[in-house]
Amino acid sequence: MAAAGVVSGKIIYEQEGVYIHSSCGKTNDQDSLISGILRVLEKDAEVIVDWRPLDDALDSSSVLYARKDSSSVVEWTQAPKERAHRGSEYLNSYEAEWDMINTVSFKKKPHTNGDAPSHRNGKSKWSFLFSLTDLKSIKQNKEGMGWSYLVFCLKDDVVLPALHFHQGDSKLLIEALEKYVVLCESPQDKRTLLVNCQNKSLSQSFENLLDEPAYGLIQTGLLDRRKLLWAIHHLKKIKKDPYTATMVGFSKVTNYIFDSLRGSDPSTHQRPPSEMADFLSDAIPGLKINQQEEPGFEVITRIDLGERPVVQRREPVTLEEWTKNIDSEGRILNVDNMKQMIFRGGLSHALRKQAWKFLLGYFPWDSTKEERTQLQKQKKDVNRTDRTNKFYEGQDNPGLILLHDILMTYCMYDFDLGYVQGMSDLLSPLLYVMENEVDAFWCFASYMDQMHHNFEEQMQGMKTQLIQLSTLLRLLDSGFCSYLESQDSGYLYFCFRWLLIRFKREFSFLDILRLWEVMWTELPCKNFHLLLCCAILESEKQQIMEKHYGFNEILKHINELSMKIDVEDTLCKAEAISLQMVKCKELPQAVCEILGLQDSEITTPDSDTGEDENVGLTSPTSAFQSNTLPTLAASGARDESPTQIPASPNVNRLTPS
Amino acid sequence: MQLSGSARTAEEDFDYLFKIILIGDSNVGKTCVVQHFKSGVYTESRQNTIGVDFTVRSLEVDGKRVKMQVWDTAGQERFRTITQSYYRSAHAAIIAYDLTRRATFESVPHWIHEIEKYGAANLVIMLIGNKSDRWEERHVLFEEACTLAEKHGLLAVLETSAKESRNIDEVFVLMAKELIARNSLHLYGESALNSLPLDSSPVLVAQRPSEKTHCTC
Repeated sequence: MAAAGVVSGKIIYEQEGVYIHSSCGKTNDQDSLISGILRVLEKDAEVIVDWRPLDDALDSSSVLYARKDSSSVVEWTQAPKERAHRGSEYLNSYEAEWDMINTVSFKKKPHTNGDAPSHRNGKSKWSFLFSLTDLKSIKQNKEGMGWSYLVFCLKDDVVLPALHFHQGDSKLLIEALEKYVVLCESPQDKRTLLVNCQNKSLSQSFENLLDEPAYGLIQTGLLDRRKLLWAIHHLKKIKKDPYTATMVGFSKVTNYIFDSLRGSDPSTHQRPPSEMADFLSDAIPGLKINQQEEPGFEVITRIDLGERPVVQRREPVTLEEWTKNIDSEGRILNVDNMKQMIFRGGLSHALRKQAWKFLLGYFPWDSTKEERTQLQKQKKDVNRTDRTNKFYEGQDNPGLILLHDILMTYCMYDFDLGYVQGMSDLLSPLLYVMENEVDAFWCFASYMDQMHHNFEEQMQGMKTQLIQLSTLLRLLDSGFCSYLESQDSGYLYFCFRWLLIRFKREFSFLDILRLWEVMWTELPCKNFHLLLCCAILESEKQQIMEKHYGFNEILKHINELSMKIDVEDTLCKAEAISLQMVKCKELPQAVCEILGLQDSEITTPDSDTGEDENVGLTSPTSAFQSNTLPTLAASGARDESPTQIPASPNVNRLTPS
Repeated sequence: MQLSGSARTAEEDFDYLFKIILIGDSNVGKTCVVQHFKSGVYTESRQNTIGVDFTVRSLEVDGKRVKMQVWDTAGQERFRTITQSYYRSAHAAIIAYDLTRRATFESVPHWIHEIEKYGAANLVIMLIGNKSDRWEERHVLFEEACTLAEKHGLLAVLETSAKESRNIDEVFVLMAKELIARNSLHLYGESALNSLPLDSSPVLVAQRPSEKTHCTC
């Protein structure tokens, strides 16, 4: 490393192997590549960005100080584009790309006060430094085009030569600069970061957000303001994060390579993947976020999740164990412990009819037996008033009629949602266990409170879950993710059925009873079902990749897993993954949020400016706090005022209050 | 769009691979049609389709081994965002309606529009009126379907019954033949697919009580 004394001041950032490609500028140097050191220094309350050639590192006199008020230096000024002389060798993708970026080339003005060092020639003349206060914008390379580079533009519109990061990554530099200034994406050009433009850009992102079909959820009122702020926060983060863009770019390159390989075989060539990707994002706007805006995977490839713990399951909770935990008035004691036991082993079948009502929030855990009897009575009355009771008169399969009736009732109850295919899948196990129309209906209504978003008009819940799943999967296995992307399957559509009806069609009926009651404990973290997806996918990864399954085969393979998955294995694996993630000290913010591994307060843009490192450091116990979150708020409200039932309190529950 | 070429491995030995998307309103019998095509027997509809299912059957058509991949989709409006994403990769589409429920026929133009919007250009489209076994409950005349097919330049209309095994294989064989013909022309490079209506008038196959009628409009 170079001696720090030369560049007096505190070094905030230092990177060797940062090149200027001199032949790309006006001057035709023999040395087309000049290796140098880029530093950010804190000096006299000023922050200085300094680049100098490697063999020039000790020569402080060769430094250009391109500050507006500094008369003693050479200034970079704009010059007309001059690149006609360039040969066709520049047409390779990398240089061509560079070419486009550097639409403003530069030349030096003569020195104004004559004290410029006369020995400034060769590489030395390329060095520059400037104060951060003079920085106007930073232009970055397009995603995935070779190594990263960036171009500084100063406030007087001086454009400095592009810096190419042959070593390291411009991301770290951006991070260093963000300690001092706010950088945000230019509304006109995604690749340009503007300095100190926070307010303007925030309102701009607001507008973009509202225009963006991907965020239709805001317009439809499905996202409240807090979430909106969260979304903007993330949008901002991503704009500050060129590395993400780069990763996305890489996946596109992979696509391209696969395409060209496949292209030689007409039987396998189906469509240009890039075209497909474009198409997909057009067709399903919500999923754009997946690849372009979803934060969190920028650093994931570097995260070591550590060893996966071995998890063991226990026997199902017995009626006896359950009864022991009830006080004289019928309250359930040690609720958290009980949930833990259910999470670990599920319930013995005899107990389900009782316990599911608690798990689903139909009965409050702390209610007395008397209160529950009252509750049931009221609900029964309400339920029976507006319909004829076909319970005993069906000629056809009474179970089916019952199922149908309950679904009809639910459609009236949640009129706006209407009946959507798949709802009956959610109801049938409940009806089977409850053996009673009224209880089944209320348990179903509670379950639908959790699942409602899957069935809404725009299927936003499904889109969100697919995005979240992709984020988790990327953390667990970015290689597999890249493979899926290369097969146009990065959107994970093949998991659609799993998510829509919580694996109902993937497991046997009895396994579903077990799986669902375990999930209803809301342990060990939020969105545990996504970890179940990860666990299953992880088991299938090898086959999918070894046999080189494409878009069709992947879907077919996943569809055909139905009834072949071992429920206990999957639960163990998913829990082990959750423990692994909880322990991980550098879990990305996005993952923490999905799993609820942090304060439930959503961070606003203001509370978290520029510091993205200190996230995700939560204690393992926080994973278990999620069971106190009021996810069944609507049903809770209903419990307090059961007489309001026909007013359908949960219809509007997703709109901002 | 490029149609599939020859076989890729010995394991999957076929001359052509065609992907066909099966669409239409809920409960018109799409899954039953495709299940019948796959297994040759009718199975009472077990449950609705969630998302997209996938069925493959190999046929021999004019001495060529043809692998037909059928993508059976969920019919409900709400699932369209997911099903749309499978259009582009398809070589052909079969739109099914239930001839006992007029509303399902009336949505056919809508489905055609979906194909035009999300599918590749020049997708071969076929129309099938299912449940022809319940002809006494018919609410859609075969002639109406013919008119519609002609108007939209569809390949063919067939009335089918998955329950009584009528015209099911015919649907897929007819489709395979057409795709082979188009693909051969394409391979010979004689003309672009765009200008390639082999026969501009649709093939119309009604399911009269027992015999089928080919009528060319």
